Amino acid sequence: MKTTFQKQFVTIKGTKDGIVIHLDDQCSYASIVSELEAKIAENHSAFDEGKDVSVRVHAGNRYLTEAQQEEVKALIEHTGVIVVDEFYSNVMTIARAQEEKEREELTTYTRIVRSGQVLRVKGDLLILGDVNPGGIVEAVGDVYILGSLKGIAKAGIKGNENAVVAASVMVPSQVKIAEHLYLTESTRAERAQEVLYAEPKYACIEHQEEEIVFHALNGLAAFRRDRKNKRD
Amino acid sequence: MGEAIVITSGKGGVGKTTTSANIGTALALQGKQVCLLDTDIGLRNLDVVMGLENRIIYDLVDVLEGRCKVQQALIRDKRFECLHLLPAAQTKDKSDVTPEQMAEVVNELKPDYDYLIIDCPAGIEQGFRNAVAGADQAIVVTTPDTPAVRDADRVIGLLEQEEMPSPKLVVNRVRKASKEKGDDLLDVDDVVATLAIDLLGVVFEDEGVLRASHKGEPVATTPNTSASLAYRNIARRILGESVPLLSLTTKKSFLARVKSLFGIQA
Ligand SMILES: Nc1ncnc2c1ncn2[C@@H]1O[C@H](COP(=O)(O)OP(=O)(O)OP(=O)(O)O)[C@@H](O)[C@H]1O
Ligand SMILES: [Mg+2]
Repeated sequence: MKTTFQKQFVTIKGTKDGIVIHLDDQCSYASIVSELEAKIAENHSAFDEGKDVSVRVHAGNRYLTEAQQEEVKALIEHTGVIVVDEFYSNVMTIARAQEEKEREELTTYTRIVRSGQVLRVKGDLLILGDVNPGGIVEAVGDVYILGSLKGIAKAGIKGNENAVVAASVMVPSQVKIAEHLYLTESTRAERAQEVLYAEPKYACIEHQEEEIVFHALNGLAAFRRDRKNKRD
Repeated sequence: MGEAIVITSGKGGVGKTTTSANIGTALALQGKQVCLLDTDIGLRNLDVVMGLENRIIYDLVDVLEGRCKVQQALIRDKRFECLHLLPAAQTKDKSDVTPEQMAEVVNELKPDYDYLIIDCPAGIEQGFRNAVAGADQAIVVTTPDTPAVRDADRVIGLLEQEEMPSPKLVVNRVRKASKEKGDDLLDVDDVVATLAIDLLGVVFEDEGVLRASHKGEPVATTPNTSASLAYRNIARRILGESVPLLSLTTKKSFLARVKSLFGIQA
């Protein structure tokens, strides 16, 4: 094994939550890349047999761009056995932080959204009341309606395909999630007998079919958990 | 100090003028001092429905433009001493009047009456804004069909942005035997569930209404048609009496509503 007095830029630690690769945050990015290459080559045998190992990469106080994350990931996964589970950094861009904050904000509206009215929020939207035919509600995040959705609801309007539209009673004229659109033919949402779903449902994009589907609301907790895991 | 109530609907022809004439008449029947205000400038009707068109000398625009005092333009009803009408101009346009001017006239009249009933033109443009400007309260008239209800909803949304209590609802031209499937009409229940404001009254489709308008005698003055009774009940509710609504809803459909409230398929 090559010995050096130099401080190591890349250290690998086993923790009770699995393997963590720490990247020094004072050196140049190039030094990390070259040391990673060397380390992986050197320790290759250690990973040789055995099953896939998933690791987390901790970048300390360094901000890694998407491209840099991709590069680091590619280098590590080049071993064929290590899979990068997630990146973690103590820092993020202001834009991202703002986005995150807005994403987590919930706006509550306690009124009926009536014909001709448009309600648009940056985070999630909770409506305590109906969305009437001709009314439009839009959220960057999710839309939750404690009432009947008879008008138009759009979730994930900035492209978030994991957003949902939930309502106690579904008689939508349109549901849109990211770029996917669901249209109903029936337009007489005022009539009680034309309800699409009289029990609480949430609409989300089914990724296999690439279309919007409706599920019983009690599945939403699990959906949100999966979504959160996917996200971080 | 009187109360100014605007009668509005969004959609045209659903019965605003008929409702204004009859609520005004029914309130006068109860001995109240009432002034009817026609704000449908260019398409005035209220005078005709009241049978007062031949007595018009000055109109609303004459008042606003200073050609006469408001008292000179008021017309006393043929039947009721306590019922007056301020007619709209027929030769002018809705844009000849501003909301501020309207509010001024309404405020000038309010001290002399118990109720000011303002007949609003169809639409949500200038004419609507003028009619609503001086009002303390609003009554939204709709018929039980989808287009009228959508427009009523739009108007309620606009009224909710005004500083006035939640508007009250009158469902007009309800047909007693409209329960067959495939009918385009909605139930009164559907209408109320959608608009979600207090129901002030239900008026049935009644040929008597048409005949009365033709004769210039509001149906509320005739003793016992269903529409006449309905308007008189509406007036009593405006006066604060609790008059039960003519029973329309069967027990079953009420149960269905409760069920749907709890998310049970009815
Ligand atoms: N309950 C009723 N039964 C039968 N006919 C009715 C009833 N209510 C109103 N009508 C008729 O409907 C027509 C339209 O009514 P009205 O003029 O009151 O409506 P409006 O809303 O004032 O119309 P506009 O928007 O043109 O001002 C009239 O011919 C009237 O006689
Ligand atoms: Mg009219």
